[in-house]
Parts: sequence; C-alpha cells; structure tokens
Amino acid sequence: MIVNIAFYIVSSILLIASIVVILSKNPVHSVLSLVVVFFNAAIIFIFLKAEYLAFVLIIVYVGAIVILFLFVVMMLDIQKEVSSKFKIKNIISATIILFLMMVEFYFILKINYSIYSPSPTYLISLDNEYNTIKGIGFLLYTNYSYVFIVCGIILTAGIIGVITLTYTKSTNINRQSVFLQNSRKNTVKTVKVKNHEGVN
Amino acid sequence: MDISVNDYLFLSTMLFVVGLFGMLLNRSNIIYLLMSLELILLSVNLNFVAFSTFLQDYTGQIFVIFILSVTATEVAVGLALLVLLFKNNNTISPDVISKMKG
Repeated sequence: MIVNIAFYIVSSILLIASIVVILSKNPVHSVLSLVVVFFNAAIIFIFLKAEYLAFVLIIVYVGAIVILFLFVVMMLDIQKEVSSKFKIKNIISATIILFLMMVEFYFILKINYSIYSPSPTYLISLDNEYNTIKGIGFLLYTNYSYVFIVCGIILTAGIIGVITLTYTKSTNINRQSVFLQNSRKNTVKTVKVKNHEGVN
Repeated sequence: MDISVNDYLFLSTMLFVVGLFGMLLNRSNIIYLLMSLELILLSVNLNFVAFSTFLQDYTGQIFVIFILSVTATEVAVGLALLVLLFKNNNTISPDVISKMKG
C-alpha cells in the first residue's frame, strides 16, 4: 500500500515537472525541472527493479546531458527570444493533435496488459541468481554484442560531427609551424658532419 | 494491491503526450524542442523498462541502453547546430533554417 502511494506521488511530481519544462518562460527553469523529471524517472526505474538503469539515468542524463543544456542556455543570450512565446496558431494545432492522440491512447490503454504472462522463450529471468547489472552485462557482451559495437560507432560519429561543426581555427594567434620551418630550402641546408670535426 | 503494468503505461503515455504538446507549442525555440524530445524518449524508455520487468526479460533494458547512447549523441549534435545557428544568424528560431528551399 505504501508502495502504491509512493508511486503515485513520484509520478505526479514527474508529470508536473514535465509540464513546467514545456511551459516555463525561462529556459534555465526548464532545464532545472528537467533534472527533477529525470530524478523521478530514476525512482520509477527503481520501482521497476531496474537499478542499473536508474543509476545510469542519473549519471548520464543529469550529469552530462542536462548540464550540456545548461551550458548552452547560459552561453547563448536567448532572453530576448522568449518574449514572443506561444503563437495562437501553434496553440490551436497543438491542442487538436493532443486531443486526437489522447483518444487513440485511451483505446490502447483500455487493454489490460497485466494478463499477459512472461514469454516462455525469455533469455534470462529476473530471479535472485542474476541481479540486474549481472544480467545486463551478460546479455550485452554475448547476445547483443553487435548492439554494443554499434553504440560505440554512433558515439564516435557524434564526437567527430560535433568537433567538425564547432571547431573554428583562430587567426589571431601566432603559432610555430614546424614543418614549414624545416622545409625552407633557401635558408636551411643539410650538412654531412664528418667524424671528430664538427660543423663549421 | 500491486502496481500493474497499466499504471506505468499510463504514466509513460502522459509523459509522451506532454512532450509532444511541448514540441508543437514551442516551435519557435530549438532548445525547447530538444527538451521535449528528451521527454518523449524518456517515456519510450519507461515503456521498455516496464515491459522488461513484467515480461521477465532483459532485452528491454538492453534497448534502453541503446536508446540512451543514441539520445546522448543526438543532443550533442543538436546543441552544436544550435550554437552554430546562433553564431551565424543571431537567433535560434528554426524558421531561419529555410535557405535550402531556394
């Protein structure tokens, strides 16, 4: 019973914070309520017995992605953008699409999904012998190793893309170009040094 | 009384709807678009984890890890494009990205 009450409190905080994310005028408030959303989602992952993903969610999302958002919001001076928020055209189209989606989701959620039993062909059961991180690690390095490699390739492509997008070569800094310096033909000559004589 | 899978699905659906609404509402600000996209992907992750627990299968959690890395890359590239857009056009409205229309 206490778990039910905790679940409803956590999920209502999550929904309220997500509404604050999209409706707030100040982008910094939006980013900070995004932190609240991710923390509550991590708590819900713990309710679902997925502790490893809960910690990954806090470390990766709150520790890296939301901080990235915060850096960009602080770096760009976008305070003047927020004055003309919420055009009436956008509100009308958003409400119509929201209503249609609500109707569709109502018919989907009318099905009682909890009557479905676990599939008989599951790979590793969530029992006491395997805890979450052990099971995920076992699956990730055996059955789904290609997924793991593709993750690495995607992250590498992301790094290369971001660096090439934002890298600007500054022209006001004097740098030493070693290759150009050493390959000058008119001022640098190669001398063959004899033994015990040195360079004259 | 236990929490059924339908409660988690309802929560994930509400989060999806909020994210979609924010995406349609804040169409003049790319940073809000990216944050709404984060909400939508979080709802997808919640759905995966809920079914992973209730069907006793770890495959859903593997997919959550995959979605997480894709999301991290997408946000990094999106924010880099946002910085470039602000540097070149002095605004972050997506309406100015229409030069390829000709």
